[in-house]
Amino acid sequence: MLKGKAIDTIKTFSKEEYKRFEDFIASPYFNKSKRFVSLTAILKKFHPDLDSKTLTEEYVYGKIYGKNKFSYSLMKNLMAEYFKLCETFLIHDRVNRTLFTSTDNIIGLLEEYQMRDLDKAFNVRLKLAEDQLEESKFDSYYFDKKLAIVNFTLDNEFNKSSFKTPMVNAFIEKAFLELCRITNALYRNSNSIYYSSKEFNMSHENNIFFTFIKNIDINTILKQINFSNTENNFIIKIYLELIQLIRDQKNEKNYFSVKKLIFEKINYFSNLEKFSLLNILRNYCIDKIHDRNVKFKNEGNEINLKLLETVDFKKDKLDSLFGLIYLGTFLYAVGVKDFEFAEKFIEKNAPLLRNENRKDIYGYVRSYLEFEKGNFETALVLLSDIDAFNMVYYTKIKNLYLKIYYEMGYYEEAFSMLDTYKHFLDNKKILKESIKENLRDSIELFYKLFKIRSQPDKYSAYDVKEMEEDALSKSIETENLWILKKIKQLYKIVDS
Amino acid sequence: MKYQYHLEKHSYTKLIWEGFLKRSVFELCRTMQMLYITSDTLIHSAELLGGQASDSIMITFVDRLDLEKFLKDLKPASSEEHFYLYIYTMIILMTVNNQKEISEDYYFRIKNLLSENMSLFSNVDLYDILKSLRAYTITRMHLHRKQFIDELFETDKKLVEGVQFSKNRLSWYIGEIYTEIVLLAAHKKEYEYAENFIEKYRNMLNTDICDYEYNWNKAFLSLEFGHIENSIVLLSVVKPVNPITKIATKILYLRAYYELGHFEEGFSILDAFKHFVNKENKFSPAKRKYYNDHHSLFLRMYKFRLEPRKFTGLDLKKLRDDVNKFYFIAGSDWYNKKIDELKHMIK
Repeated sequence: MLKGKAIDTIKTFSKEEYKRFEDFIASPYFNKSKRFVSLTAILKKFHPDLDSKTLTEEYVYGKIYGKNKFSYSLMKNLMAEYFKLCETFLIHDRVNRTLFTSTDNIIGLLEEYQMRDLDKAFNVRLKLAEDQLEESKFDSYYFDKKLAIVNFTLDNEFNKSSFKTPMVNAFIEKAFLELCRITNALYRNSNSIYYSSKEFNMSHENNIFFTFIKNIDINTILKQINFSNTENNFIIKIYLELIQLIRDQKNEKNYFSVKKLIFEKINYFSNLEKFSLLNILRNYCIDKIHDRNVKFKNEGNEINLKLLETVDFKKDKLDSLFGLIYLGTFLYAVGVKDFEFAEKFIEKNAPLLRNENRKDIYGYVRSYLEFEKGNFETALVLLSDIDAFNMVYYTKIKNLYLKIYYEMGYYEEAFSMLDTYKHFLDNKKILKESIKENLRDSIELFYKLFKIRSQPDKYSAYDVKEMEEDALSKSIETENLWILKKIKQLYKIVDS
Repeated sequence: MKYQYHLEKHSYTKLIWEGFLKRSVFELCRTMQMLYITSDTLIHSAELLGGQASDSIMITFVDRLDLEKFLKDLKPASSEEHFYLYIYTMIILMTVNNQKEISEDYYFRIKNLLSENMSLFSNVDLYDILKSLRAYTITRMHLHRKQFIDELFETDKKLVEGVQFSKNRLSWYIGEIYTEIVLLAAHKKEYEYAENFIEKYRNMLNTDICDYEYNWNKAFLSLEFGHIENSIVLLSVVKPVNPITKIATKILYLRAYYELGHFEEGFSILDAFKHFVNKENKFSPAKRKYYNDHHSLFLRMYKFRLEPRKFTGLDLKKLRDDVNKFYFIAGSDWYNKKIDELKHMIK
């Protein structure tokens, strides 16, 4: 079977792309060899799978070079050159698809015009780029492109030998855009590093980026800059306040201040930026919930709903993150016993989940909902049909199994699962210690719960009381709240 | 892009963590680069641009960074990224502190680091760094730190020798430093360098200023060599291209007529000079004052020369003090030499 990078690339072409590829190969501007025209025609018969047993190197060689003896090196060179053409096609096709609609392309064209001193054409296209940006919303891409436009203006002025007119406004605008770009990069990286350090159980303190962040006197900057005198100064205010929020997690005032501003101005930002801004608030709420701060459950839900209301998860490769918001919103609704909303929500939004794990996420929430409704058998059936595609879901699924087993009285199965679960945690070095601790707490509570429930005659109310106190000292994870509820019921069993 | 794949696939591996760390350091390098370039432009060119550096919130931001502390945490030998961060941070510190003596320490540290590591910088970055050093040396010269005249010449030489001006649309900058280099070379008596430079870089000048720059500098060198008549012939073909070049041409005429003792022509130029400076609305108030001060120096020199018996040693001392207080890129030697000559003529 014919293999290689060129074949792998062509396999990804849609029918329409293949047609364009044929035109591309047939164009003497890109390709002057008839062999590649023939090769493209041969491959077309086998496209898109290109995995037919007939399609061998010898077969293709014979079609192109006739009855000449098969030469491995000649074939290898042919396919290597063909791959280069595939790559060239991908670049051209990408540019071609968005020829005058992509500001990137127009900026490239402007550079050409500027180099060639074609002032009239330059000004026409400059206007087009400006108009396009006028319709765009704020994010790092916008700042970069807008900066490129300002730089064109300044560049033109500097290239003049005549007296340079005062360009203070252009410079102030350039500095403003650069500061937007800088603070944007600072807040995004602060967020990534801070939360991934927690995720991967690493320290962010020794990192040079955070050393820099610590050396910014944000409070004074916020006081010194008059945010009301320039229309768009709020962008920098939001970014700086977000850095402050990440740097100083304890100060909840920062959260409410920046949340208010973000909610007010959210529609000025691009889709991706909306997600990025709200996601930091969401991360903050999750941290607070882990720290037993109950009021942030409502806050977290408010942020999730804002995300769902304002962000289009189908765009900007955000579909992989939709699952988290989907699950968070569902769990909150179930937590407040709004089953009707939960049911409608999961059904309505399931199509937005990523194909590769839609079945698993949807299966999990459905099972969870059935469990909450008391349909344990159905919940178990649904759960048995899904896979844990990452560690988060691994733990969630295990916890749900344990809850179902408890309700159904499947104690043997539960003890066996608790052993596996504990072993899994001990061997997962990458999980951050605080997460492990919470999970171990849950396992321990589950273990005690099952022991008392399975042999109530061996335990007294004192033992249950001791367990209850232990549970109360643990985190307010959903599972622990459920466990507390079950402990209350145990009093009746051990007393009887 | 390398780490995005793992992020999208939700594979919780250390690769994502490493990716975030790398990205943050690269973005920090970019941030510091933007900060040094823009701070430099806003601070050093505020007057030329017709505004004040403090008008920009970028400067407020830079002022509130504890960069001295940050600099101490950087280990330039540990990685290329740390090295770039180290040098960029020092440029910002040098620029924002350009009125303070401590900035000179940063200047010399940057200069040494740059000399040893020129190859690490891209063409544009090298140009930007040297441009910052040049702007800084000029600021120090304005503060009468005389040794910075040598530093300016050295930096200009590095600019023309180290930067490829034909690339990255940088060729306009040759026009900015062409005359400055000739003046500095003449000040250092490196006449051969000046002559070679005028010829070598002539073709890199923008076409609309090429003739002016070339002829003006040839006329200037003729004056320096004492070939006054030849200088006037060369000046007669100089066609100024903007208000600043008009003034520069008048100044050369004033020097030439002074040397030749053509007072009538000299006074006529002085009148036109005064009139032009005060009428030209493209000059900022600071620029206008600067040219009027220059005019005053010439006017007094002409008057002393024409009727020396009317003036005293005290008058001459005052003139010398004013020359020494006046900012010349280079060339104060000529004025001092002429004042020495006047000493023997006055009463």
